[in-house]
Amino acid sequence: MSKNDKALMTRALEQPTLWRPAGAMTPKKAGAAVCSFLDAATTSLGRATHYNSREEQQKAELSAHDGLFKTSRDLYAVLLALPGLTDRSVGVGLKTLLSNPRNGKGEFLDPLQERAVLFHLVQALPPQRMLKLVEAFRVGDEELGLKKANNARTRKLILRTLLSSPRLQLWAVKYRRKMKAALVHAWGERKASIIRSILAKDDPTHDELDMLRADVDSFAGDSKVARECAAFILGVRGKETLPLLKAFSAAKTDIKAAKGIGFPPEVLEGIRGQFHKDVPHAVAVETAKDGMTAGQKMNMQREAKNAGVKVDLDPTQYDPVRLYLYAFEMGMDEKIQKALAAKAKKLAAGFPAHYGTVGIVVDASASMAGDKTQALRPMACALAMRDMLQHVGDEAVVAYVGGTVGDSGSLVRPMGDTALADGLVQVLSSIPAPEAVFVVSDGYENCPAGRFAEVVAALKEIGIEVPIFHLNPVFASETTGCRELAPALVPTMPVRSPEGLGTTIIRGLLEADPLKGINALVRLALVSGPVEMKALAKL
Amino acid sequence: MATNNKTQTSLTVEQILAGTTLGRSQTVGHMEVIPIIPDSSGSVDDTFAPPDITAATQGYGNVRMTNDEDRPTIAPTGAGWVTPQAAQDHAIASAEFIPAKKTVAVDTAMCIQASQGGYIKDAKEFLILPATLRTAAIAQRTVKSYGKLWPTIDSFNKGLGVQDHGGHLVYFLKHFAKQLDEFVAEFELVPDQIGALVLVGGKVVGIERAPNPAFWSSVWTPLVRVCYGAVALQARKAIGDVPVGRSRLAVTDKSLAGIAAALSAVKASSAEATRLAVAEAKAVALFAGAQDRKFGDYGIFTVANQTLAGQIVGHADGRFPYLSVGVSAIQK
Repeated sequence: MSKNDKALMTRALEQPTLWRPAGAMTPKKAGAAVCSFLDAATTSLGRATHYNSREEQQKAELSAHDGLFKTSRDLYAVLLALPGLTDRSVGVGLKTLLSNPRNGKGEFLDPLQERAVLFHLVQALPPQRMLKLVEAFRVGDEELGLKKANNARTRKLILRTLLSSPRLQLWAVKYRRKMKAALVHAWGERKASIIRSILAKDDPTHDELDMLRADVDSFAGDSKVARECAAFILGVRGKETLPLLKAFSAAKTDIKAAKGIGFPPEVLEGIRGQFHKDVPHAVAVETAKDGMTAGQKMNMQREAKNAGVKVDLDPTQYDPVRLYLYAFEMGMDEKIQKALAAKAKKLAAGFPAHYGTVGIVVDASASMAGDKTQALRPMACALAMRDMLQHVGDEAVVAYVGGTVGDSGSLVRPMGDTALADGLVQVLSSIPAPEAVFVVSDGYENCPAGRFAEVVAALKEIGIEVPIFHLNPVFASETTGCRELAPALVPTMPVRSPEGLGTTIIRGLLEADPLKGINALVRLALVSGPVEMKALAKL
Repeated sequence: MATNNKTQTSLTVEQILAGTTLGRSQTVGHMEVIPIIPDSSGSVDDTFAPPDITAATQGYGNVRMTNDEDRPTIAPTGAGWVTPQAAQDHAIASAEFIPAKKTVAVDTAMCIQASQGGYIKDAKEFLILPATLRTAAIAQRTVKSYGKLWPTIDSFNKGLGVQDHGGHLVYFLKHFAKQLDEFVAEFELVPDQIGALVLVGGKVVGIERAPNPAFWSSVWTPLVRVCYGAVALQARKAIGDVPVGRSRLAVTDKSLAGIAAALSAVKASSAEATRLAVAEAKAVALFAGAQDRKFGDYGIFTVANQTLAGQIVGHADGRFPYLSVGVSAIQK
């Protein structure tokens, strides 16, 4: 272990203990539950991989969540705020917490703090996923592997999340049907109907205003906006004053009324299809291009190109994994490469260690292509990790196992077999020798299977103690975690993106000392979570 | 080899694999796969599209296969359709040519799910029968009896310890689903690959060649998952969990350079063991009978010897763009 690694571990381990196992639970068992949870929560997308079906993935993932929830509800709630968890995992966590009643104070969270955690988590989700989750709370969702959670706490959380959002006006236009379903579910059909009729009135009575204060304003950020948006969502028309709501009606007669105000392009396309069949698609794209989200701009590139419209894409707006996925589809260019390099440097600056020379073995074999439902994601993740890790040392040595390297040198397409032992020996043989080696691989080795572990064992036997870390971007349901390359010799850490590597590295500490490793994770989660949680970190 | 040959002809595997070379071996557990790639003569035949076939049954023992591609294709030897539909799973024994945009009906197909009724509608995903079952099916390829493979499937299931045996291949597939999926994950395609030699326990149990890389890519998963995955499972049952003949890393010089040397040495010794097994396999003679099917200058022939059986597609110019030959029985 290098000095840097020791310093990192010492810093993390010397902090006060915030969480201890209760009852018959031991630190070792808790550590195992946390490891399994992290493996699932940082890599699983609840979809098929190159190896496992969606059902297998979901079953293993839910089991990992359940394991930690049963170990400690508070620990589970806090760790859901860790950076680098998948949105899908946060959704599963929310459902688990909301569908199980809380009885008073727990190990270190009180009910208000748990409420703050829930609110923080649901707000951090992208709106479509958040609304899908809200829908799943209402009816359950087989695809998400979720059962319904329908209680007062859930309903209040929905109202607070929707009505206090600064993006409520946009959501009212963009997701009006889903928003209506969510609000009607939260209020109940009868109350929603009454609220609608009150909001349609010019002069509501005092009692009616009291009702609006209790059921709308008390959850709202801006009560005027919330009332107008709620009215719009519930179908009241003719009273709009907010620009997006006004444009929704105006665009039905003049599509250009939606120009320059950030109107959602998919809604405008719907209006074009229904009311302006003679207006070309390109006009709708041009009119609404200022309203496109960063994600839409990326997704629309091919369509915009075909429609002859230029939609500027700023690569600095996207995370490195997404940029690589984009480059696989549309090709790599200089702008993307510059953005990737800048992001890699920035992310490396936050890495908790720095080395003289770092060795990186990138598995670019065929299996790193992933399943068709998440095509090339493992490879994109591996390349993003490579970029970042190259900056955690003064020098970097990179070895590719399989793969075909593109003209730019940065884009590597997965292909071929997996001879990881060769890659390991190659980077270790470089001069100067690396102080640490990171192997980014899905853990499937075949030239032959087990050779990597044999080489690591031989290295240890002759006293070569260079720390080797296995970073795995693929959750494997058959192991209820990430597939290991050299069990007991090389720590395998799940990783979905360079942003989540801090969580991943501390997860590695769990194997050295489960209790202290868990507390290091708790501390990281507390400082990443809502304000109410940050106070706990000072204990 | 003439495509209208009426007499038995002897061919070596080496002759059939002419125009190809071997890639680096991949080994996991009992199974070893050696990729076959075209040599510098560029031995690729793009006449045939990948078998992206839509299958349906019209009566028991009758399979209709539709090729929507704009090139002809070859339905692989022993292709089968196991579906979640309330329908009887079926398989074909012999390979079939299917012209572009055409449907071919086969009335010598067989049921592989004994007590299930109903007809398959539009099944896409296919498997390839376990190698030992496929041999039995090929032997009965001209027999019109939809229940002809039930006794063999029953023995196969019993042999592997599948509790719900009988003439249901699906019992085997469910029982070993996890292991079969792992075979798919563990063996990877290499660039330009058009085939593979499959070894289990150090012995050649399968020789596969496709006309082109796209065709190979679409038949590889069914082959490794079920056809040869089954052989690996049968071998494990017969010879135990510890793989036979796997070379271990032996480091004598206790240094990094020593480990690198040991790695090279173990690769060389593994390669030599593989080379010997392959040389032995290449020298093996297969006996081809009369032509089973004809399509222009191409013909399908059934080939076999004492240990292997399967089919080849030969061209009038002496090339063999398709070969699918597997072991007939598991040897200890």
